[in-house]
Amino acid sequence: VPSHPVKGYLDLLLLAAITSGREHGYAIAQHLHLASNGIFDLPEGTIYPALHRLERDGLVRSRWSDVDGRKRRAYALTSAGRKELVRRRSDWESFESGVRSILAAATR
Amino acid sequence: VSGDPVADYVAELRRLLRTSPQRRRRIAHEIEDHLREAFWANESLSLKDLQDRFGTTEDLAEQFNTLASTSGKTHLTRVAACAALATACALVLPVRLTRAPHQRAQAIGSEVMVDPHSGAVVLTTQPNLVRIDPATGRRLTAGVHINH
Repeated sequence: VPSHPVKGYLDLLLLAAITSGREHGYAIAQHLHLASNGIFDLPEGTIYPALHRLERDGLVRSRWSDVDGRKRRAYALTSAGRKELVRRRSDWESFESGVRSILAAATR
Repeated sequence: VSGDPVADYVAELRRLLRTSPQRRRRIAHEIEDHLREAFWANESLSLKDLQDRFGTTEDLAEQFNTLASTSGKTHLTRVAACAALATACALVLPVRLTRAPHQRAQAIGSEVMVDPHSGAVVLTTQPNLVRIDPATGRRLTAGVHINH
């Protein structure tokens, strides 16, 4: 069991954040926090080892980019990353559907 | 201690990282860029503020160090696999190249064509050439299998 509930889904969330147009670590972290209405409150530093791992596994690639005179690392999905996002989204939807079905049948 | 909490945080992280100098520089640059953007207007920033929001340097360094350690093992596995493949090729290829042209075509793959008149092996698709099916060893022409 992951030490933080989000950690088990961090790869899926990062792939989704990148594909929604967030390229830099700070923007990705902000997106995860704001789009989840503050529910995902992981320490922001956690995303960097995860991004590096996704890059090592060929799911994202990165390059230095110049933003307002500052050198920043920009991430993008590879074709393998896009396929992985589809697969993980499908897994998540199956999982969510199963949990919802069980909860719907439970009495409050 | 420099009096700049971001610089102190990044320096401590660099000290704890057990990875290549190049990767250490990259990590430090990314983390510092993030922290400068997150706290640019916070004049009363403390190291504790950074650790509360970003995580402790020990936790973060441990995650990067674990990643570096597993990446090293993966790299070694790939190197070993490449070495094994190269050895296999070195042993098998000379044997293959001593065979007749049509057999060479089979060995190399279905994209290689053989001229049925000269027996020469070519790498382009031309209508007057016959395809060798590497699975069956038969010559194929116009969709008809010919016993080889």
